[in-house]
Amino acid sequence: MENYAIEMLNITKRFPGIVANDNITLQVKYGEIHALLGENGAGKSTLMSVLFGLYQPEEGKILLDGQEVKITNPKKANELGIGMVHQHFMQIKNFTVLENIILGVETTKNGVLKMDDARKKVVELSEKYGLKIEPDAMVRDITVGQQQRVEILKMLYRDCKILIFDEPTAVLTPQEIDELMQIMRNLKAEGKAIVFITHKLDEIKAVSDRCTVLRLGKCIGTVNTSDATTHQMAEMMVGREVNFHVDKAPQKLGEVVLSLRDICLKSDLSNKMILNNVSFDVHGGEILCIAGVEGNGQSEVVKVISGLMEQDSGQILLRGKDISKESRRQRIVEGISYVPEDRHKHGVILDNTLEENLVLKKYFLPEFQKNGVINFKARKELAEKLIDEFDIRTSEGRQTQTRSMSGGNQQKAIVAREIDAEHDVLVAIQPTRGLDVGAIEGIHANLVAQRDAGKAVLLVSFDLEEVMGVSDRIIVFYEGEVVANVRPEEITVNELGLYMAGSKRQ
Amino acid sequence: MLKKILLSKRDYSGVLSSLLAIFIGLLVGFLAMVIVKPSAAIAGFKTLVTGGFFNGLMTFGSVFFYATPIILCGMGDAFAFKASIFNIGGPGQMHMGALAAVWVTINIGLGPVVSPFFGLLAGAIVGALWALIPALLNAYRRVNIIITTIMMNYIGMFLAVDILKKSNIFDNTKNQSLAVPRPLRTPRAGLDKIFKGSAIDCGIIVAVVIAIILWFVLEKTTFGYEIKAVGKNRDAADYAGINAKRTIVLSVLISGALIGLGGGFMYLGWAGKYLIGSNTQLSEGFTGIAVTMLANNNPIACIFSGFFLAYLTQSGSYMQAVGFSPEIVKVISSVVVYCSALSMLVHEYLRKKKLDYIGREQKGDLR
Repeated sequence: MENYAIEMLNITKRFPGIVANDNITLQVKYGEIHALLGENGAGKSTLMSVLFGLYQPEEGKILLDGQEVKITNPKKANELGIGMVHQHFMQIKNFTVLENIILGVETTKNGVLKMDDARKKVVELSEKYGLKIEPDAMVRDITVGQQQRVEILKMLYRDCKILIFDEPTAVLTPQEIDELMQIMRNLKAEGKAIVFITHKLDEIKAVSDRCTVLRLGKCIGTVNTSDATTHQMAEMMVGREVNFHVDKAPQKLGEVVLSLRDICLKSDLSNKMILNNVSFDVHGGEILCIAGVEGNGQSEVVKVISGLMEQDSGQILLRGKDISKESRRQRIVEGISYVPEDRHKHGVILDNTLEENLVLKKYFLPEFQKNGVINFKARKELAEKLIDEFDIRTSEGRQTQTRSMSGGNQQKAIVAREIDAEHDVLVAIQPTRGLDVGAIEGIHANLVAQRDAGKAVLLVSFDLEEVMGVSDRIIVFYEGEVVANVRPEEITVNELGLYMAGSKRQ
Repeated sequence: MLKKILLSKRDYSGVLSSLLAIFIGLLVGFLAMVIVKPSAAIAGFKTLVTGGFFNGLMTFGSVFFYATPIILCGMGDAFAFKASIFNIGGPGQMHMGALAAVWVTINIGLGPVVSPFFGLLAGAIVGALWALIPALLNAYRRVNIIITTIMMNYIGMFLAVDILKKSNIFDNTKNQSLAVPRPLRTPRAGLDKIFKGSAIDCGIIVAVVIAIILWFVLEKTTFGYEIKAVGKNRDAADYAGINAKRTIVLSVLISGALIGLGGGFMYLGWAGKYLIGSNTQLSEGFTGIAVTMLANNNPIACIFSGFFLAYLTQSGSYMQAVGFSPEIVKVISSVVVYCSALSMLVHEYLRKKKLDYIGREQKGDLR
């Protein structure tokens, strides 16, 4: 018998209308990076929540070093040496790195903080595993990649032997991802057991030893990563063959639909220009991609177009008409659809039903209300049509609480709503963030279909593969300025990277 | 039994948690009586439960009168709460509304029914206006409305007392407002024929009608949809093009209007209540918060919870007969309110329980 660090045997966990985990077995050894692969809603998060003590399984048991354990809460999990790097970091922004790491397990003497010992241990750990940090920097001042290292150090500081990484690469730049991979290899070399949750197949291929695939709550199988191709793993995950390539018909370029003219936006906090004389056009029948490193003004330009933010100067023209002073509602009615960046903040009202969210942009139209009284029948028909057309999967149909839906299906609902609304322009920012290959494929197909129907599509993406695969034309943002305007077939990814980094401009 | 209720199609967990709060409140009240005076505890509890009928229908009718203002106030708080606004300016809005209602009714000179009608209308309008300032500050400057409404309570109280003393409706010798002439008091809609000798008037009917209207607005209209959208996620509402600022201001205005109306009914009625010329806040304005908490912010449920708290208060006034101070009722109602504030926890517990039942019943994959 092999010595496993952690074994989750025949775990079953049910939720109303759904079996989130159906007889799943996961076994991880020390000195192994074990990838957990699955679509959104496949049950990865549930399984890890069970391991972390957030849920109790209805059936199955958990063995730690061969001994059965009951993990009743996250604190217990920590005591047993199980640590988790969450997707959203749990950090106090105006504490230093060191203070954040030792938070909760401070070293004290007679009730007085003894930071020196802690500092020594943290510095040792960071050197041992190649986790470069500045102990005295404020967390609010460091990059996301560094914040992640703080999270990893937190686990190491607590002497965790089993480390769970919950989609750690979703927030990182390509360089940071490479560094993270190296850190993971270092951890593995020191004999830690690592569970790596992701749906990026090339990352699994690059770093993991074995891979367990979940689909629809069931365990599809565990493979040695070296023996399987990415295509095979994708097929296991989705249950059918996956098309990595975005199929596009030849472009039929139409008139200019949306133009920005010299848009400027100043930061509230400093004199920095967030948007500096931004001008570009989007044509009908075209997917224009805004590429760039996150935080170079992409979010803001989209908010300005949609009317959630007001620019300091410049004009926005929709089919030649200046809409810069119009309200958000007017812009919606005149044809700007918008898939927002933050699903939970802007995209849906989590405590509403799916139906209520699907009608969010239409409830005021004459077909959905009469003298202010809601037409529930029309609303129901719309919801059922969209659920059917866009294959939104739920436990209770249109009455499902949106909060209980998986991220991928929430995003499908948003995309469905935005495409369904009368529009000429579809603005989408990071529409595939955090989604699995199957869902990404669907959303890309939707975007392309909009383009083929003659709509103007403006896509903001931080994912270069997506930028290159989907777009008809690319503009690059750097520090609030448009530094390049190119066609994807004329440029390489490396060159694009140079524009994004600001070391080259047209 | 619990299982059956939880698994039924409608969600009863809100009602269950309120009932539980009431049960715990009564239990604690009983224990308090046992500790204070064991010999009279049983009699005391009996009075508590039956006190609303102490003098038969006469007492019971007056319960309706006392319930009306706190029901209106509770519905007002509930309505604002749907937009995630804590309007705890009840006392101030009520005080200003009541003053306006009494002043207009006595001075307008339009005779029976019409005068109190305009009086009540004035009460609602002034109550709304008193809520307008915090509403605007919150919607446009994002000033914490809890703080502004509390401040407006004091300003309202001092201002109302000051205006009262300088007005022609002030009785200097008694240091209180003049009695509203009997013909100008709130119409009784024949209810005093049923509840002979009680203070009941048309207020309870008005409150029920308003509750139904509020339910309709919240559940069946686009305005209600907007209010709830803003309350649940203001950012998403903005994103959807809902004018969140306008929605917040409107919901608080309606809230203030209901509370002002409650003040009107309290002082235009038949129970002999007078606005007094000393600085005291109208505690009914705070009781409204208890009403809405116990009702889980449901306007229809406010009728029942308001009635329950009024009934307890009424019973309390007879507690002295069996040797307890009426304050024992305050112990009970505060425990009830505490428990209903904790009903979130109960709610959560019941929800988990429900999931457990479903989980255990479910065999096989439902996907």
